[in-house]
Amino acid sequence: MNWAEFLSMDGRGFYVWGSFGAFAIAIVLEIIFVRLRAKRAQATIEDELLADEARGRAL
Amino acid sequence: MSRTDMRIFKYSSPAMFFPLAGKLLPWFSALAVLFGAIGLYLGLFVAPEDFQQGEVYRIIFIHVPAAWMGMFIYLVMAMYGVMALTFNTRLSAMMMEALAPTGAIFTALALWTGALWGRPTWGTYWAWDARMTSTLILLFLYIGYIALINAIEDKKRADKAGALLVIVGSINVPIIYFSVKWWNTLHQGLSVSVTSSPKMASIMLWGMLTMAIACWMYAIAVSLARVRAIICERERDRIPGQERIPRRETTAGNAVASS
Amino acid sequence: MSAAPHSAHPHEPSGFAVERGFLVAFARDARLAVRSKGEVIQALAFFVVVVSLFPLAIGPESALLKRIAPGVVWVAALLSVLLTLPRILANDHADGTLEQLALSVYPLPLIVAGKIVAHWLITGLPLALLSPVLGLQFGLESRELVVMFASLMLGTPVLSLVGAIGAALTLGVRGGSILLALLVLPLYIPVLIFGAGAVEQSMAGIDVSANLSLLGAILLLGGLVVPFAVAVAVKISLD
Repeated sequence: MNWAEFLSMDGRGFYVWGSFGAFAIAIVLEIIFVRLRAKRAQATIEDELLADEARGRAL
Repeated sequence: MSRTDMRIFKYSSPAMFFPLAGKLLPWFSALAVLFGAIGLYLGLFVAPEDFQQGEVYRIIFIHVPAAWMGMFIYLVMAMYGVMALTFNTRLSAMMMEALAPTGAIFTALALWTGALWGRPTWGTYWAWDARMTSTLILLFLYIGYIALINAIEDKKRADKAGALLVIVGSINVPIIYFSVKWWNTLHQGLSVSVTSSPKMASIMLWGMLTMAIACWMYAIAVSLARVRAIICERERDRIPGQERIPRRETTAGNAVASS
Repeated sequence: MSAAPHSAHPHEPSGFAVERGFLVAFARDARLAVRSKGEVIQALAFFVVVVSLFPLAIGPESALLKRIAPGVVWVAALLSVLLTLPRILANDHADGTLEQLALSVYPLPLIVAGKIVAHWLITGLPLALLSPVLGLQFGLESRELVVMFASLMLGTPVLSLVGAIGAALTLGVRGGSILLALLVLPLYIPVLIFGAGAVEQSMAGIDVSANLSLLGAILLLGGLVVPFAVAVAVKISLD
């Protein structure tokens, strides 16, 4: 497997890897942002859930 | 209702869906990675060089799946919109909200990769042909939806308004595509005809199909993760008496359980 | 919505027909518009100003201006209608009349249809009537001016119809008018393409009847279906 050839893609490497790269970056960023959002969202309801649990145990 | 019906409808409650989504998430992620790996292998290594376009045609292995997903996700959103308006289910509206960013990103990627494909192939980054122009308009539709649901503060109203907007938009999509195609042929004499895809060797088709499935699995996985976040965010608006998310299902609950 | 009350005496005409809802809404909106003539004239003035901007921006070369005339006039008409869309519903929403109308015995789709027609009469129709004058400024011939007028006559009602959906969805929302534009402009694109395209076709000597028939069909279909969508949107926004 000639890596130099693979990377250059007939000299059009900029376009090919610009595309695949954008694809990869978009996916990575989206995953990061969703996980951040999920973590923040769960944190905001943690207190309520804790209180619930305490109430549940007390019953 | 039969017992099966009861069990299915149970999951239409956000609180019940939350843990289910959490359980499904790793499976779809794994499927996405699997199909993605196979698709990339097929597209980058197995598929031969194109007779006319050389190596650069390989961009279609992400351009076409991204365009398909952009379109497909919008239609799925419209379906959820119909459900949200007719059955008044909160979860349908939440799924719509969860899918929108992913659909918009795929559509934007389709535009970006289309431009990078166009430049070396037909000499121009952007051509106002039917497909690219319709994709651009689809991106506007996504942005409009996201802007609308973020602008309305009352969540119930935002859900329904967004649902109606997506339904109206999806009815418009074929009209828009038809009109853009007509517009393109009207001006054919003035502009260069672009978007001739390379002749499809079957291996290329398989590669695109695999990548499309990979994108689909990915979209499901990300939407499940996002809808879990949305369900938590909406907890504050929960009516007292509605079921809560079981705490052990949240990440904090899991952390405590394992400590 | 309740059924129309039946008259006790079989030979008397019944109490009222729910179809009057259309006329009631139409008459009211038309009367209000006449009272606020200033707004109507402002929309027309905006139309003229925007169209005039293009020669100023691009230069007075007549061949070029003639080429861009259909697009320029149509986009300017589109933007002018866009600016006036809030008046279909926002004023009534602000003073509570809209809620009254929604709760009245008249079917909301009919009321909405009456309002939309009134809106078109004071925006789209004047624009269409004025367009030949502007077309002349761009050097269009009389046959092309007729087509331009016809395309706007058929197209601007659709702009009012589709725009009403956006206006209903964004009632009382902050950042309303930019949001409204963002929602409505993509939906306007087919009408723009067929409308401006008709004029371009006439300039190229191609028969425009198919194109105008298509616009007419869109208008017919939209006129029948869109008021129901707008009514749903109004109910969503009022809840």
